[in-house]
Amino acid sequence: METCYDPIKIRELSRRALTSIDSLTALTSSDQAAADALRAVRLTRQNLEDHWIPLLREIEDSTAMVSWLSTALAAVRLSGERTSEWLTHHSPDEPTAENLRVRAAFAEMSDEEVLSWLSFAGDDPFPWNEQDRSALAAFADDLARRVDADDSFAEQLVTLAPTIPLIAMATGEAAFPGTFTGDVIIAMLHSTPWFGGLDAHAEAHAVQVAMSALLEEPAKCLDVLADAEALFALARWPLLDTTILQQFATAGLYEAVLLEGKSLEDGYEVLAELTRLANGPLDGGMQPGMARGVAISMTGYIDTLAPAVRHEGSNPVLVIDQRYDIEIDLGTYDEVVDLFGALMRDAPAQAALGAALGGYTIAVVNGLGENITEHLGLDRVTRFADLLGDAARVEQAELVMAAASEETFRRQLGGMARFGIDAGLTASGVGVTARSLASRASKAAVDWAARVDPDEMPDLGIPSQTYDLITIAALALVVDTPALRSSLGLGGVKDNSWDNIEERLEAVEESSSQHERVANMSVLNRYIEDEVPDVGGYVRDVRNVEGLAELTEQRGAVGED
Amino acid sequence: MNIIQATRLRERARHLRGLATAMEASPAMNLDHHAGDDTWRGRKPSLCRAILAANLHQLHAAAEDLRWQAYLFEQQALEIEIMVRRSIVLAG
Repeated sequence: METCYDPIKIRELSRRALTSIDSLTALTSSDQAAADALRAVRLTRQNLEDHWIPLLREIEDSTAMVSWLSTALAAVRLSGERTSEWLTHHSPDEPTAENLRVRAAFAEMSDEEVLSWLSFAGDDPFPWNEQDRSALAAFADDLARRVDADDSFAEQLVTLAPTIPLIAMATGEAAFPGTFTGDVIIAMLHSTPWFGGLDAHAEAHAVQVAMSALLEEPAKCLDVLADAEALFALARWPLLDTTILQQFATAGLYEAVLLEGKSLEDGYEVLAELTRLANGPLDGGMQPGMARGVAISMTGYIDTLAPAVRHEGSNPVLVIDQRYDIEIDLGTYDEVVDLFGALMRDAPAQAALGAALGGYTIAVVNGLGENITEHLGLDRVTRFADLLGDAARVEQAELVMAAASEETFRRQLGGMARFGIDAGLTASGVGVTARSLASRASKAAVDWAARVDPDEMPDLGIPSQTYDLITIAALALVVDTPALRSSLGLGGVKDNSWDNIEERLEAVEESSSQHERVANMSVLNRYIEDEVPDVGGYVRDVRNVEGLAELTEQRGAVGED
Repeated sequence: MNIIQATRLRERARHLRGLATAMEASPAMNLDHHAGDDTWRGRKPSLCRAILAANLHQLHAAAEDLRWQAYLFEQQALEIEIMVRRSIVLAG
């Protein structure tokens, strides 16, 4: 999929987006009956502010806009009429002599002659002058034209792709059909894995080029991941670039489902296969890029996966979603624990999982609103936290994840998204752009994992952190939403008490160390119990959810289990 | 129950209906009309459109919920007014 835009319409869209934000900001109400509506208004405004406006500004600031303007002005002067032209994001270079020569040479060849030439070129990934990439672009353009025109030619190229990396390289230089690029990647991954030597690195690079080209079509990325043999190869190939693999996995597992909700079933089939691999040949861990991509994608699966975690041991984790008519057996509880354990061998993936759990917890609490003391859905948080705790203790990763679930890290992700499942459980809706979330999560996770100080690790693990997070989220809910207080029996609490609670909440969230955080939590809990008994009762009601008490059990130190 | 409560309910109903109308009149509700393939095309624009579509669906549903709640308030107000009138008649 090309990235292109009309500059004049982009400016108009930008203006309209800003006007929309202003109009949404102006919508206010103190009526409790309007709380849900205002929540929807706020989500829409946040989406526009966090994603539309930055993307529009990025496009407006790009040099392509400047180039277009000078050309367009000349065209307007010449024609006297307003014009509107398409620009590709990557403007084609002026053709070089080499480009023209290669283009002319291939134009005269039949399909059979091109295939013969490819066979002759052998496994040389770049048979032209390496300084002149326009020759590869010319070849790629010609190949793409032929693939578009003739399915049988395309099939022959796919068959040759494992032995001729130039075919995969070409997918990064021209607009090939996504299905073809996906088939090329699958064919290359089906071949014997290459784990060493110059040829192996060249072939890994070629696969990466094709994977990068396919990022524009997340559905095709999911098709590749859905191929069991290709998935196994991706999950264990150490020569693949970690970032490209993470982006590819996130595109398939997260973005594809965000764009088409029915793909959730395909996404879960991939997770089921990864569960099987994690309990088999990938028991020792998986490629970090795959682990991070899956971990980051969990932000979209957690609200359907959490309800499926019901009983431990050999009981199945059965994912059911009625909206998309999905029923998938992911594996037993112990097998799913092993999947998350395999993911957790990578520190940034640990952090991403912790942040996913933290964000889900906040989203569930906020979504429950005045129903929070009925605990609908909150028990899922506690059970899922327990599963992650089990997996983390096995991998001695609990402390990393626990620290990552803290709100400061979670806020870096800007909120969580889920896949079009209509429920009152999450207020965050779909307010994030997948690529923005994935790249920010990956960068934040890597940065955070690099600066972790062992002395700053929490004394308590992920389940206990979740206990605190539920408490904090429940308090923040009523502090931020006065309209809910009456229905929760808190209408009589004085304004200065709310101010004091808010002040103590801020102290917890701004804690600079884990020890300071624990101390500030203690101050907050004491104030509520001693000074604001109504709020203390509310918090006790929230905490009276199935499984939450277990989260406060002291876990053994790392390695003791 | 008294007439003041009925009046308050009707005020709330008017307010909710007004809020629903204001939501639907927001320029955000037809922002998607100006964000089609002829304006911008690519993966990021597609994702932006998909998320906005979900947001607009939520906004429309929320506006309908506001109108339904307003209707319920009006029905409650009517019942109160009827009861007040009956009590006046009986007292008279």
